[in-house]
Amino acid sequence: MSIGVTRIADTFFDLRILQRVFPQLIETGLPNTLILSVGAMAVGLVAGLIFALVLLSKRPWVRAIGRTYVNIFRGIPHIVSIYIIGEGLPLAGISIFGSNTYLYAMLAIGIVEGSYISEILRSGIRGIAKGQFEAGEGVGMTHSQVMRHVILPQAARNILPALTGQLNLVIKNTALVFLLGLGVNQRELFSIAQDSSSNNASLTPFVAAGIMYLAITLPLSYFVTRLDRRMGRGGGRVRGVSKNRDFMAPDFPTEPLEHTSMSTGGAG
Amino acid sequence: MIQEAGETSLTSDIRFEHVSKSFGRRRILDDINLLLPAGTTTCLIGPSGSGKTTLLRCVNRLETPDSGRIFVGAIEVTDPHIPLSQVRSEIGIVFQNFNLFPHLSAADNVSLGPRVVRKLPQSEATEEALRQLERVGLGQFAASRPLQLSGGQQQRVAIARALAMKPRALLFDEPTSALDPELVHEVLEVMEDLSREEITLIVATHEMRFAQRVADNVVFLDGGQIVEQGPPQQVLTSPTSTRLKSFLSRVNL
Ligand SMILES: Nc1ncnc2c1ncn2[C@@H]1O[C@H](COP(=O)(O)OP(=O)(O)OP(=O)(O)O)[C@@H](O)[C@H]1O
Ligand SMILES: [Mg+2]
Repeated sequence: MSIGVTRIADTFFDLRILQRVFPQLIETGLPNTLILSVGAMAVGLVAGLIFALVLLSKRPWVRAIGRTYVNIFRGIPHIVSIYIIGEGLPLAGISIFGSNTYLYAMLAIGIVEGSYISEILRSGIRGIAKGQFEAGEGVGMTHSQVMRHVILPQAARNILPALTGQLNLVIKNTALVFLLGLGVNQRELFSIAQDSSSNNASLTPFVAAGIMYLAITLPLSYFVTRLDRRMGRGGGRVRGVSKNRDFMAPDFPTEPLEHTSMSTGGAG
Repeated sequence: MIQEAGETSLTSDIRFEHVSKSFGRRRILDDINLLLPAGTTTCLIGPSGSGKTTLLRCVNRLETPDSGRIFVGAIEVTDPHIPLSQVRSEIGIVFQNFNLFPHLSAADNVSLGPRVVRKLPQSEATEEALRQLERVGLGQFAASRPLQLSGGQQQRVAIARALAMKPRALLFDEPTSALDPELVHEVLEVMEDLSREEITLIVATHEMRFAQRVADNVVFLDGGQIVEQGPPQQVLTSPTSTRLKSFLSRVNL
């Protein structure tokens, strides 16, 4: 092996270090990253749902509040928001979680993600054509019946792939909580890699952490693509008719489809 | 194409008494008075912006007139205390853009109203849906999603959806104008079959030949006013007003 190749291998794939860091990453880092991600996503969903409704309000000043939240947190780097919320809240005496950095980290990422999620939810609901409301009301359904049977099921189809994609971003953003300083057992993938890197004067731990992130995010991306493709496609089932072959949708329309380009009303 | 006749029993006449409506400063409907006998078919014609859509939407209260009253049989639909869901479940509407629910199969599109509004059990609602799809000639497409259907088929599903509520009256707002020409016929054919049944129809349309052949009554609307009305032979072949004459010459019958 030439010197150059050996050097690359030692820098990025030092086997001795890999052996030592992987168990730590798997036992401590992975669970913490996942817990932080799920917790932040939960905070993000709650904030996102509240602000989505705010953004959909009929009153302009209520919408303005939502707009402000969205614009602020989407407009500044995550790292800045996380410092401000995660460090700032306890410093400002708003110590809701005592001195537990972990929970401030979750809250900080959640609030940032909420600004993105609120937009995903808002556009998912707004994207449903007005004609769908009228068609539902046209057969006599009440507003909330239309919401439940017509609007939300369709909105879910718009929203779910984007939301899963957002979870992917949240997972990567949890790396930023190292900023807030974590206890030994609270360290997530990135913190562990960072500590190991400075202890061993090697970049190999970061490569190991990268592999760990990929192990979560790649399957998730694949799942999003699948989800995206499946939504709204394929034949429907007829409720109340169990596996009756006579009603299976034909794989191909039995009449030419060229005309459907015209017929997107409400369905597009 | 329609296999079961005489399904709809509770047909009603429709009366407009001094109905007016404005959007902002513009008067879209201007003192409309009209009597449409039960079971008849009325074609509503007029230039774009004349108020056809608004007139139809007032009948099932997707719009509310500013003044005047509308009766469907004994029901005053403009009564401010009447539940809107009752009005709308008794008066069906078919839209220009179909507005089918894209996440539901054709059968579920049709059965949703009976299930949710008429509170039929699932199995009965589905049976009703299959019956109505059969009625518009789409029995074998029960499991298809709207996007798998042609525009003409989608509009026929929309008609079945409206019929499944057993309405007293059915409103059509330019049901064929979003369709490619070769798909218009199948929809008009279904409507023509309906016109022979005991149900009151109002059809806003630019299809003059359909009006000529099918309508009992043609109403010409211009600038929110009824300018002429009567049987099609009279209104369409010997118009008296200059406004109708010039409108008809433009749509070339
Ligand atoms: N919700 C609304 N707000 C404001 N203006 C409206 C509204 N709905 C309709 N209008 C206006 O009212 C007028 C009449 O509209 P309407 O849709 O009833 O006419 P129409 O005869 O159906 O025309 P078209 O043949 O184009 O469908 C139009 O000028 C339209 O711009
Ligand atoms: Mg119109």
